[in-house]
Amino acid sequence: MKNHKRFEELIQGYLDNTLSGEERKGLENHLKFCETCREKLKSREELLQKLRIGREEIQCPDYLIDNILKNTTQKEVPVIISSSKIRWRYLTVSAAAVLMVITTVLLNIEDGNRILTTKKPQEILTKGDLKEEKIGESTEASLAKMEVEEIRDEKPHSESGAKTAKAPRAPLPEKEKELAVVGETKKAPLKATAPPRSIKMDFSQSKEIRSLEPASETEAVSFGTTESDFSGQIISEENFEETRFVFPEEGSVVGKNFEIVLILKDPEEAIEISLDGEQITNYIKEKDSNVIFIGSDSIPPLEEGLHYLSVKTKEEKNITFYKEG
Amino acid sequence: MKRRRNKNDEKSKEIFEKVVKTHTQRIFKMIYNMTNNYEITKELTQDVFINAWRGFKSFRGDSAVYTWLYRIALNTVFKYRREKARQENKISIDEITPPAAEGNPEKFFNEKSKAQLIKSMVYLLPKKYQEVLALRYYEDCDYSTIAQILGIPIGTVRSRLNRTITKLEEMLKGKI
Repeated sequence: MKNHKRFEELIQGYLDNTLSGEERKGLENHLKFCETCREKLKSREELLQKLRIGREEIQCPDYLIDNILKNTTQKEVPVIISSSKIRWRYLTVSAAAVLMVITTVLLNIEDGNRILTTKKPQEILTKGDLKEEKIGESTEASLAKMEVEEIRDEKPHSESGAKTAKAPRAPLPEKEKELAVVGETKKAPLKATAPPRSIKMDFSQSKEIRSLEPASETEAVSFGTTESDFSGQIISEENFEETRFVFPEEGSVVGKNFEIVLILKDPEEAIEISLDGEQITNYIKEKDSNVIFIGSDSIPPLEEGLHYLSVKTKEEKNITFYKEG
Repeated sequence: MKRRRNKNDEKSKEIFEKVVKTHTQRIFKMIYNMTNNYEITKELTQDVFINAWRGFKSFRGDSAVYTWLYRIALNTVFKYRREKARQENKISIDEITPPAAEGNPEKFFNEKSKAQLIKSMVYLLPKKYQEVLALRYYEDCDYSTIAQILGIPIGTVRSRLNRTITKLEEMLKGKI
């Protein structure tokens, strides 16, 4: 009897077609000799069939959708998608991903002055010397330096991440498929006082800020190692061309206390950069340089802080955000 | 800053409207199969999306939207049943008379009727059994999706389904 109980569960899996090859074989062998289990299989199969017959394929009335919209998006104060609670840990990488290195420097300083070096962007960071570069070292001896790491063929960190990008896509063009995210954190000078809302953007605890090159487009990638790291998000379901990086905590990046360096794979890659949906035009980019520098003076002073940075490319991306199962 | 927020909100609205348009039918069907009542289904489907909109802010995007909606839908259905049971001064949801079970079981003689009888018995199963059964046999969700929706391991899905069907078989013994 105990044995039959064991096979009962296997019968269930058999009917749902979820047994492993070995389990299936074991059950089929057992069924050859066990009439009780054969009968169980038959009766259960009939029961499941009847269950499915009882299922109603009913259509919802058309007006229901309108009613729902009236009671949700057209009624209430809309929510903010890139709020502090949404940490998009997984980034589906697009067909035209631009190589981008984001260096975020959280500068907790007095007087609102930048600590970051006054070097020009190309002097600050180029792809070849990322590992050696020290930003503002002379000024910030006390600041921790984080090396840029290039991690090729990064796998998604979890299954759920992988599931966000199931859609089959064509391989990325070689020159466009690098996407790198680099975080660089500096501890504040001893005398500086950190604005409370800036704490969450302190990358100093992140040992591993990653650059990413997806092995294939069907994989989702994540970057950063803790919840306080950057996270990325593709914000629409198809043919969307915006890659959005959500700052980890709403309002955590406060006006003058941050700087971002984007390093593109291709200097000619046409992009549009926005902060909180507001296009930025006064960033620094020298001709033929693949480095874009966004300083705190590129945006107006903010009282509430920033929520996300988005980068648009010319290329059309086939992104699936809401993926049917 | 306000202007920026508004732009952001517009994007949220746009995405959510798409969610509503894409998933209402699916959620409606699921709820109908769990309630057998058209009017209640309309009401509960609306509730699901109202709750989803309220919680849209906290939706992390690390699971598919429909699995998130299914979870909300299941909660909404069982919450409704609990309230109904309370209003009717019944002790537990198991005591609610399922719509399709009314009448004499002997009347269920054809396949469809038998299927209706089975469905009415499903209605009497404990919540955790109903959930897994509805997702598997009404919604055709695979085990991993069910696991994700219910937040349980895949192995548990199989054993729970087995227990559900065994229980159902016991309840139907001699009736069909």
